Amino acid sequence: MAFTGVNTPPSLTLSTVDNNRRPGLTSMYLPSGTDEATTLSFLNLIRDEYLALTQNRLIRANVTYGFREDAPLAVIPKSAESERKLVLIFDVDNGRGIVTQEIPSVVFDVEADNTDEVDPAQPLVAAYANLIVQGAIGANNGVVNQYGLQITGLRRAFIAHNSSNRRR
Amino acid sequence: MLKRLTLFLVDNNGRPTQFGMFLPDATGEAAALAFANALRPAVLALSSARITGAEFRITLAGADTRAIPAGADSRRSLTLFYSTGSETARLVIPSPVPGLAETVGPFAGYRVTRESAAAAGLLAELDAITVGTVTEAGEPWPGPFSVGTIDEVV
Repeated sequence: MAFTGVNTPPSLTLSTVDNNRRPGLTSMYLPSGTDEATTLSFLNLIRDEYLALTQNRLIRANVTYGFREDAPLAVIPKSAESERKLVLIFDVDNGRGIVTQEIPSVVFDVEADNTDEVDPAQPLVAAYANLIVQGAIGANNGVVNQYGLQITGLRRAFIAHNSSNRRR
Repeated sequence: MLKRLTLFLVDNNGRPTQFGMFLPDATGEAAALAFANALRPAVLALSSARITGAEFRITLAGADTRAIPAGADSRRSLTLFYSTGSETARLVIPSPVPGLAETVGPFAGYRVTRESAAAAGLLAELDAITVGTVTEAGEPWPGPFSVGTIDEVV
């Protein structure tokens, strides 16, 4: 069971804005299997044709690759509940920032009695956090924050309901 | 550029949910897919929701330094139809430049034809803008630009 990108056309969305800051979008699809370098080259080619046709200013382009789940949808336990979340707080750049992730419908295995706190060393939590920090993206390149700074460790984990700020 | 991986899940009540993370700038599509597959078992071990898909998005700045004309208006859009007669696909462009539509006849100001686009000097752009792309279904565009309409949301 895995994600697959086969036969899923990547999409290219051009985001524009008019004189009153109203947004406008144009979306198009690229052939399946188009890699990033080819996509970026194409974007630079089509940009001029597109800008010749619109008075709006181009503020952003998004290229989206969809990864399809290729396994049949397994039975979902009745206890699965998106509003019960595992909140993970990661250190960025050795404590000079944080990144928060919320994993929905957290399994009961990670919970401890009489507390919302989750032990970062809990095996399931630690295995996930290790992938985020170490990554499989290249030599020690794990997940980053919006400024491109490296996530360096898991600071804290806890269970929350509805939002990351609400606790039992 | 910003690169973001988003995982989509659904719970037993059919509620969709998602969470995402930013990836290093050097991450390509293949590496993002491999990372998503590496994350997958760890996420499934932590969550009883079911994964329905994932998305890798690259965001680039527009770098468009043109001044915006006073007449630019995203409420107006140009819908372009590309057709062989039996199949049609469309593309929407917001705030079209003036002068594309016919100037005489019952569809003046509303319909864009190959003749009116040529008169505006933009027929080549309308034909070229689909080159290298496919329709939403992943199929080649069924034909060259055939007709367009200019619509406005009031």
